[in-house]
Amino acid sequence: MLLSTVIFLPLLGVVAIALLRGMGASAIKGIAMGVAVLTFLISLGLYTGFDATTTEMQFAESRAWIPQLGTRYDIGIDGISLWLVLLTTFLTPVCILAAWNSVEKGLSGFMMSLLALETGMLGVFCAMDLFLFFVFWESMLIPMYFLIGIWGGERRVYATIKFVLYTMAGSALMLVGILALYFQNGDNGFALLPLYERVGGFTHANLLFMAFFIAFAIKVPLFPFHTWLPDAHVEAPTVGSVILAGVLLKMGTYGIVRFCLPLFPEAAATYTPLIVTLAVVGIIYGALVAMVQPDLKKLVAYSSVSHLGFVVLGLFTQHHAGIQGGVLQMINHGLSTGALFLLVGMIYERRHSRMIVDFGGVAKSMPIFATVFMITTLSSIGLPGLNGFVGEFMILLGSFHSGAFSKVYVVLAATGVILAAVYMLWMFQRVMFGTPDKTNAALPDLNARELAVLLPVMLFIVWIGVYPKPFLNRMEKSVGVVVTKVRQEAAPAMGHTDFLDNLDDIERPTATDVQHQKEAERK
Amino acid sequence: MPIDINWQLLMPELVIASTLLLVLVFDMVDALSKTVLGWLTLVGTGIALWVSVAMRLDNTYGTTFGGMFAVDGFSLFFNIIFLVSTMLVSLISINYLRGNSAERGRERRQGPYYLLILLATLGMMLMAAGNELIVVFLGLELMSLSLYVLAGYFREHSVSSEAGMKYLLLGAFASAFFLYGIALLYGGTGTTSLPEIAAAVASGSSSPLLLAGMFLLIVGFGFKVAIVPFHQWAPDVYDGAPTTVAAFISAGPKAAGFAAFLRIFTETFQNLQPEWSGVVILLAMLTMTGGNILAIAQTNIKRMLAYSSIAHAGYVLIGVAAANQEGVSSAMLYLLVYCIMNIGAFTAVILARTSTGERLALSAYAGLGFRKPLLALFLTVMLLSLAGFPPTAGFVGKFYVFKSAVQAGHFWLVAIGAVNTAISAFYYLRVVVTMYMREPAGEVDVAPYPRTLLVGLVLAAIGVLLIGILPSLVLNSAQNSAL
Repeated sequence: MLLSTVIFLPLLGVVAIALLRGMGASAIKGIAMGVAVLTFLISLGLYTGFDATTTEMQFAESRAWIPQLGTRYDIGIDGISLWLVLLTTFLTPVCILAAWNSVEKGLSGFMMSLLALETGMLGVFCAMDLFLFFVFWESMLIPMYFLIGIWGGERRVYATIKFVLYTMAGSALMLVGILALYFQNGDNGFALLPLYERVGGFTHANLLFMAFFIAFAIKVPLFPFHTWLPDAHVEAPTVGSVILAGVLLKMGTYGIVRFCLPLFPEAAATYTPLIVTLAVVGIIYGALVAMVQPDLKKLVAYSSVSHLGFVVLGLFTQHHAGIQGGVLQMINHGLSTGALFLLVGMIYERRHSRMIVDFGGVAKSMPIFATVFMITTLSSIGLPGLNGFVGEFMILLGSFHSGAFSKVYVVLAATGVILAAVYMLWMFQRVMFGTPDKTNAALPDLNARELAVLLPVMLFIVWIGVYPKPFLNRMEKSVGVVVTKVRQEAAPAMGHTDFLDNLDDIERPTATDVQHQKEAERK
Repeated sequence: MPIDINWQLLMPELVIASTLLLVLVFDMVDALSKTVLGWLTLVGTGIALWVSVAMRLDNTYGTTFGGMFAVDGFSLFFNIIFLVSTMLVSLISINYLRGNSAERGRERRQGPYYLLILLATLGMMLMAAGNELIVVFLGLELMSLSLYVLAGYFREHSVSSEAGMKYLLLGAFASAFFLYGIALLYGGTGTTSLPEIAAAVASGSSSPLLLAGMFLLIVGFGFKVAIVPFHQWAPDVYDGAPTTVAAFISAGPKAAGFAAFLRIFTETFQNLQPEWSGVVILLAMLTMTGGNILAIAQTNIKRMLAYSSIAHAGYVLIGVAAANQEGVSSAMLYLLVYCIMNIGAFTAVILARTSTGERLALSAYAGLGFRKPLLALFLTVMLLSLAGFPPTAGFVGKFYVFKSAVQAGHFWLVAIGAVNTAISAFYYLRVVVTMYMREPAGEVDVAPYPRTLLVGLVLAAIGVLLIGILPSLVLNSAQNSAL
């Protein structure tokens, strides 16, 4: 029941707000915040009760739902979804607090959309039934559509329709894939776990893989499916951008780990060269485009394309450290990019501009803001000691050890780290340093509410950077399952030509090795 | 030859027939407020619905009139679809007719309106239960003739008269095709009884006459249920007809056409499936794609809903093309869901009227989301359901249809259907965008809600959400009722 409570508590908040919408703004905000915080506190029970030694789905619930269609209400989490669930329950109250004073019209609708979105996202990460997954996946679109479309910027209508249509086009294909899997699942209906245990693969595995992968690639978004992202990010309200970057994009990468890799390992191996190429192109292209953006929000949006390219690269390494790094990087990106959008939103509220040329010398007028911005920027670049480094390092390590693709890709991907430093630090320099003009000199620094929004995020950014063990520990086993699947079944397609492969069999770096390596490096 | 008639099997039809006689009688009493006719229709169809459900639960099945009239789970399920649609339509008509007459200071005759609605419903029930081509044709004509008059019911409006005339001319064409098809089938097999034709087909007879007759039937049905390329009448008729009538035409009659289509093609012509399934698949693709693409270009909401209802006929055809038991039951479920959500959408359009008339231009919906939040919310639910978003009934319906087609191996058909769902989301969401996200040009002109219309809309919304979240309520019934 714990998991169901976490998923549906926000929906209860939606109902409460709908019934009490006449009660005034502070009551609505209070209910929304209360529900979101309560959901987060309850979800901590998932963390404490999580058993890191098993590969089973935990907190699983299974109930009859629509027996005629062969679908059940099956939910559960493993070490991968645990973190995404916690990220979602963590970011939602942060977002509500961040939006405290910035919603002018339709406050109750805004909060209802946000909470409904939370239920949708949590459902996606917990569903263990393909039909249920699809229901959450699609229904989550509606609140996001309203969030961008009603509370967004000037071109919000264009952006929101583009976002919905891109996602729907992808999910249309996925629906066919889900149905095709259903008819290969015997009497198990839409249940996911029996599909995992199936031996011998599926007929039309390559087509099915692509049906799922394109849907997820649009969501990630992988180059060249990324064009909806800058529009959606720029037009979305601050909170919309945070949720979009923090959680929604992760639904794509989560889908890859949950469905594409373990269900169709051979097809994944077949398409790995193509996908990795796209990922590397995305890393470099996103970074280069981010470099020339005059608009802060667009810059962060394109940096997402680049960072998510890293995640996809890690997931397709067929290597433990790489996949684990990819999963960890999902969380990291959610935290650091989420924080960046929050910061951009805060300065936009003061200055009513996001253009980099309008700024300069902000560090003088807003020292606290500048400090937090610096930490976030460094985390996004991947400075050792902050979260981004751990993820990116593990991904690159995994890619080097991986026999799945040539090392040229890894070298190219690594340039993305350098490019990230270029565009982020250059942006930081232009915004923060120099002498402030009159308007910039008068900007007030962060207030207590804004600090309360940012500090929890900063805490996790440092925590994961310094001591990622609790995070890696809990995902270790679940990632192991995926790795075993991918390696065993993909082995023939890989070809053992690379000596590093054999080396790797003897000495596979685990999370703790990475830990040591990292600590040694710091000394 | 004495024909023994099993009156028990005819109960729903008899209830409707008695109701229409009562409406006729009450209409002659001048002292009576004519609003009572609407309530009478509502109660009569309600009783017929209850009888049909009871018969369905007791499995009161059988044939009568010498096998010409078949009462089975299939026909009873369709009765439920027709009667639910008729109830919703008569509920929303009560205020609609009164409201319109008040505007012009002239009492509008309500008697014939309800009479025609009931006659059309009777015709639909005959079509679903007809086990004989002549009975199907009688039902079809009874239904169509009533609808021609209904479409032109506001005879002082030139658009309404035009709609009636257009519908009559094109409908007569379709009837001629249909009748010609029956004649050829009779020529090919020597009978018009469906079971006997099925026997003739099973015995290996596939004379050219039989095939030609079969394809003419497809053309006839294609006109009636508005399948591309036989759809041209639909937008003009929906646009011109009184909006309640447009809701009525888009729902029950379409289901009735598909009822006869399903019975004739998946049962009688089962053995000829290789001959007709290719055509049906092609028509399904054309209908979905054509309907959706044309709907994008519309600026009038009634015309948009007309094209959307064409597209929905395409989704039902996917179930027909699957031609297995799942396919039939998915088409039945889809029609039920479609009728409820489409009538709901038309109801919302009526409710959105301004103080001077109907709000037809899409751009006139700007700002309605904040000016009339309740109405906008319910219209949004209907549109999301039409677009097939979970957790609404539209999603369950589409999913089930797609599932049956994948089972039959029609992957590409389903892929095209799924892509069409994404296309359709564009124009359904455009209405939502206009309501919530566009600034109105001036002050939003709104009229107060007439009560029965609001009740109708709320009932439709409850139905759509209930079936969406707990589809088991109707799925079982649909699955057990398939042919």
